Amino acid sequence: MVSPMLFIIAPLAAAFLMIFINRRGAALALSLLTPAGLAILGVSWLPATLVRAQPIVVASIKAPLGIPLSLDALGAGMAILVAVSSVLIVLYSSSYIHRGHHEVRYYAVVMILLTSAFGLVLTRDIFNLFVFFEILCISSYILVSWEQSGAALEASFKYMVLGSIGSTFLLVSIALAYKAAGSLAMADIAVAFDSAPRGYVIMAAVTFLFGVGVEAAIFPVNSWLPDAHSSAPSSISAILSGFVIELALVVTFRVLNTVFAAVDVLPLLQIIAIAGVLVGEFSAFGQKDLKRMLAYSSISQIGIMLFALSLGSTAGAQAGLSHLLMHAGAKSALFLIAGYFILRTGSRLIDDYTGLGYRMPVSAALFGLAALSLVGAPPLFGFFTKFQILAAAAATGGGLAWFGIASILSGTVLEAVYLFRVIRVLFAQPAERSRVEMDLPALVSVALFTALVVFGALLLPSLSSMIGPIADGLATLH
Amino acid sequence: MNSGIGLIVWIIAYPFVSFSLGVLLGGYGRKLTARIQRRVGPSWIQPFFDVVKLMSKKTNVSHGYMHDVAMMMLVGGTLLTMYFVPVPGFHYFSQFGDYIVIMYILLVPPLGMALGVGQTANPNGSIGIARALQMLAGYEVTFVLTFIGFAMKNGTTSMYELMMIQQSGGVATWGLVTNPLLGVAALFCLQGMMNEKPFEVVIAPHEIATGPMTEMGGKYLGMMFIQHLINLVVELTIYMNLFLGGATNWFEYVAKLFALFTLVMSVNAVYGRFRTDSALRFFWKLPLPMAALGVILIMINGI
Amino acid sequence: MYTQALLALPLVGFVVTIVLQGTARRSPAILKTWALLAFVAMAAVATLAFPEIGDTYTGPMVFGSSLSIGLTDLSWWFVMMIAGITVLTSFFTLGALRDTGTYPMYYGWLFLKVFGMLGLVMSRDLLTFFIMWEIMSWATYFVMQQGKEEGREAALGYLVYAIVAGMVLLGGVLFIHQSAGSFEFAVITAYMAKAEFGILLASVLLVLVPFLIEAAVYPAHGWLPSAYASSETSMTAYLSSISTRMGLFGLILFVFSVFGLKAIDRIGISAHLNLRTILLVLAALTAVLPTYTALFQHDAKRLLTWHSIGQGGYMLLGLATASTLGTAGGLMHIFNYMTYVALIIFSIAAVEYRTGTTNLNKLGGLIVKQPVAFLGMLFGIIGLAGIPPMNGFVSKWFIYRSLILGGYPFIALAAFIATVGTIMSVYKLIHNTFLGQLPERYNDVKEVGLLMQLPIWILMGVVFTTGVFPGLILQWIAKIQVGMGIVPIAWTLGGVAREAGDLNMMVVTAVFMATFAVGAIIFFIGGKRRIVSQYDNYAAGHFLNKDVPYNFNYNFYSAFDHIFEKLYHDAPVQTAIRNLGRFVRMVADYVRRFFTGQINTYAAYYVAAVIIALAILKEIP
Repeated sequence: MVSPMLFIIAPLAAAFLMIFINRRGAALALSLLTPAGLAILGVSWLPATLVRAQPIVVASIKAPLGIPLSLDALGAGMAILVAVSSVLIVLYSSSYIHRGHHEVRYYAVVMILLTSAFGLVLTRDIFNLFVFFEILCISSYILVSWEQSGAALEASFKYMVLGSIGSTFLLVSIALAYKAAGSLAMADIAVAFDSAPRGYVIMAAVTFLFGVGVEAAIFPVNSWLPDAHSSAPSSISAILSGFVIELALVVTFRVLNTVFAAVDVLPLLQIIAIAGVLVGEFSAFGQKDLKRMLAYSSISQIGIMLFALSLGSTAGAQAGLSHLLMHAGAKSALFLIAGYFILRTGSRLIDDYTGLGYRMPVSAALFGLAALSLVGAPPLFGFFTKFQILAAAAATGGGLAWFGIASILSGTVLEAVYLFRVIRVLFAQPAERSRVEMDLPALVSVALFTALVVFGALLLPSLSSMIGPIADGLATLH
Repeated sequence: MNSGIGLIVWIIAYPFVSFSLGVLLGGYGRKLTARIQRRVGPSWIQPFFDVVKLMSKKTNVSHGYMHDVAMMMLVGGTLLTMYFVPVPGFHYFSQFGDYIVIMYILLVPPLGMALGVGQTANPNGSIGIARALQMLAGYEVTFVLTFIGFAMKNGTTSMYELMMIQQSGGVATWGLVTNPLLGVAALFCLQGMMNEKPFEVVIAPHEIATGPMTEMGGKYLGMMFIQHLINLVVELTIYMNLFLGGATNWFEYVAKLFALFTLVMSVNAVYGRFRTDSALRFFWKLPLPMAALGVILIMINGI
Repeated sequence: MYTQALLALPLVGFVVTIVLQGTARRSPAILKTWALLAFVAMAAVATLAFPEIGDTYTGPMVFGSSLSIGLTDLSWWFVMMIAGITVLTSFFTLGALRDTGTYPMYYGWLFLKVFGMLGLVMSRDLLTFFIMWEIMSWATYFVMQQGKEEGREAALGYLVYAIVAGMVLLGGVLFIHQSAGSFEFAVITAYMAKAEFGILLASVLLVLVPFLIEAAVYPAHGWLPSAYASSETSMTAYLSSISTRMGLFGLILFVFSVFGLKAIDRIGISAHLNLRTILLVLAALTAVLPTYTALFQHDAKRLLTWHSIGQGGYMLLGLATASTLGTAGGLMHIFNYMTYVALIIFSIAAVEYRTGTTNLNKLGGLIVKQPVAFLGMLFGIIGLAGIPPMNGFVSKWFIYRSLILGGYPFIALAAFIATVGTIMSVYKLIHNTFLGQLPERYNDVKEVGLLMQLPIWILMGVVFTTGVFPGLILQWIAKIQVGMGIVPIAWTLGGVAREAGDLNMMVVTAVFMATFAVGAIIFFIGGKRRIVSQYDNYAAGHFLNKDVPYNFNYNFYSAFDHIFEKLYHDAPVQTAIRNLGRFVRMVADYVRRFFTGQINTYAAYYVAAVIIALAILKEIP
């Protein structure tokens, strides 16, 4: 089989190659084909990883001197999600990103972002993690500021400052870990922390949590998100909200849960998660700016996922990952459609979309479906994942879990109200009826995302055989 | 007499009987009022002459089919109620409808009248109907509460059975004696049900030109008179059956009828008219709490 | 087999309608015919499914248990009601719905809503029940969207209530599943019979509260009037007649079957002071307050939607007594109300179709122009007011009798107070629409076509027939009562058997017809009548002509207005709920300010987060 190293090498190579060729067509072809190929690669590796994790040997140097990389079921699953999402989003970008504006560089930066994303799931070395984290951050800063407008530049700047604080925290954590273990391999650190003083480990864990957590949009270090996700081009918002923060969340949680297992951070994470849910939903409630609303919604959805993961039960982990899949589809679709709403009306304010549903019926219908799924309306995918999370929480029991259930339920009320307000505006009395539907590539991309959230529930039976080993990746380090 | 030939005779004869009683009561009422006001007053059977005169008028102005049908509903509904209210010797229909049925069929004539008056398109008429319907919330509600309490106490909603229970022990078991609060409250309501002063807002000749009757003439007014006369008997009988032990024979029945009517007409003769909202407030301030207290006492005794 | 087909049909209808919706503008007949045919087929399948009562069919596995549907006597009865009223409504829309182009998805959402409702009443486990409940809620929202602009805003109000209900119910489903360990009704029943009191109480409350919200029981009734009244008129009829009753269905199912009456009655301190007493009081408030609010409405549709709430109170009154008579009355009232409210609103729709308005201050005198619509409304309001011989009376008779004999005098009084209010408001309705003076601008108004008349005639027949022969309905209700664990009612064709009370509607009606005939004879004995113009009228010597409005319909019940004005305009419950909404928005606004946009505050959050997290972790062993 082809080496999983390609996950890191291929997008990086593609990025440099397209800069070198500097032709729109080539850039587009490369950035479509690379993730597509990687998706196939991920699928081909998946059966093997479901049995056991596959260590990757880099340049024939074995541990402890080499760079430890490993592809487990979780990594393969996340890689497939990232790859498929990127194919669709690049497809969307092909019609959405207007030509001429350094378009090639756009695709190149997206490819670099992919490199770091794949790297984050593969790495088993805490310093490598830092490196990929930095690449991810920096490529995100660039993409957020892509439109060069005042708001975009400001958002990007804030993101950069806050991301840097996060990096600093992460470095502190790494330093502490290195001092304790004398190694940067996660496995070694985990062993060393078992016997390290408790306060020491707590310090390392907390700095790690709020270091990497910046990218995972964990409350309260997510304050960059509303600006960044709403000011970025919509395709980038879809990337950031669709899989980047989820991926970061999974990585953060996995490292905390395995490397820092000496301290029980789960109750803390639950509290953070619940706070994130409530703050996100309440903040989104009064929003007039569609993309900002969706960004706040992402905060709360991250809270829901983190809550599920931090329940500490297998059911919770599996439910959280299912929800992650649903959210990736739904939020990408919503942001992508919002992109065309903005493109067609020139405004980000919901009130300016009055009657747009009659001019873009398919987009509006897809928007409605994705929103319904996000809210958790049966029989759409979102209902099943949310129900699983709530059921897992109920099974865990205890005051905090039930408080979390109550928060998620009341958050859902708010979420439904603000999303339905958008749908209602879309289908208010039309001012004009001329069709301004999305361009075909964008429509295909959005339709596929929406298909995932509509028919996702049908995947559940086949997912159920895989979700066990995938969720195992959150608790074990291979 | 509740089967066979006797029953058929009763069914056929009873409307005439109660109409005759109504004529006598009506005439007596007018005479009584006149005497209280130191007038001579009309003949004892003046209502009969009125009906004959009106029914034989040549000019009968109609405002449409609903106006016509309303008259039939009016008389028909009153006769219907009449059959279901038991009187000495005739309670055949009680087994097919209890007081709850009576309570509702009592609403048929007013509804018929309301529809007919509505079609006459006269604002005075509509105002009269609006007032009549609002007054229901005063007296009818209170009266129903007294019935509810009484029925709950005796465990039956059948008017015939309630009457029989009262007759079991002479005067001592009359509703008015065993439940004086309910009986007195219902007496206030009777005044309202019969549209007599001080609760005469519906007709109010000086304000709304006799209200519902404004556009009625000839046989239309005649039929309203017929209905009114039979209704006198029916409503007095209902009160009698619920609170005065009904009657075991016709002498007792007629005596109680006239006695009760004397009371009603005497009050009528000396009082002025309340405004609609004042009348409603009166019912809600005095008879309704009185009846409520009576019911609470029954509940306490029940425990 | 028919059971599954019954559920599949509306779903197929939904999909086909989506495909066909492009035809809505140019040839609306295609969609209309398709909807009617599909609904007729559905009704036929529902009838054929009768022998399958008692069977359960399982569907796909979800969360370790399979979704299951099946018919019981109760659900079959509801299925028939849904099917019947759906067919009638879709038939009515053949003529009545002129704006198919504007509402291309009118039938689509109706199909989805029917799917949700059928699935709800046929569900045989908690999870299916919840899924169907939610589908029904979403679909209802979209159904309400098929109307005027103001209705769409009002539908959002419905949505808030519906989601709150849905989420509370979801909490209940999770809690019950966690406690009882299963979604299956039988397992839950067995568990609840000996569950701890706290668990029982929590389960019951979490499940009943959503039902009360959906059934628009006071004080959670505020969503209904605006949302229903501003929908398309045929849809107002549909929603008023059946939609709200789904909450009651849930209540019946859970109180009597899933939890069991015994378990429910454990919640309380005595036989007369328990959960059912609270329900009775709520029901009484629901019956009285909205009915008197209806009195002050001057839009025909809005007036009736307030009655939809109030009459729901009667149903709950009957059901909450949990006696043979009371439940019979409550169940029967669901059917009766469905028939006559649809009848009244169809009549209103017929008027609106010709005059373009439902404003009671602008209509009048239409009896001469639209006699069929008048007759329909007359039958309907006699039923609504509960006056014999229409069916509304019979169910009210049961409810009164059960309340009086059950020892709830003041609840019974409240029911009667509501009846008085009903009579007042329905008279205002028919008076201001059909009676009084005909405004000059309606001189050219004609009766609606046969297509729209037919449902009105059919419903008139049903309202009258089931009023005279209540046994037709009572035979089903007796069966349902057995399933509910209640002694079935001893019914006869005309009413009830002697041991249950004195009621025989056949005799009452026969006597009424005879006495009516007597009235007619007296009428015809009198001289020949002459029909005069509406301007030939007593006006205290003033001359009337078409330029002088001579009509009384504005501020119809002035005395009541005078007394209750303040209470009505203050609307304490609505104000409280509005304030709650305002409070949520205020909180949202404050929370939003957490994101200040200032990097320095954000940096401070980092520090604070680290410190707090350290503190928390130190405390956790």
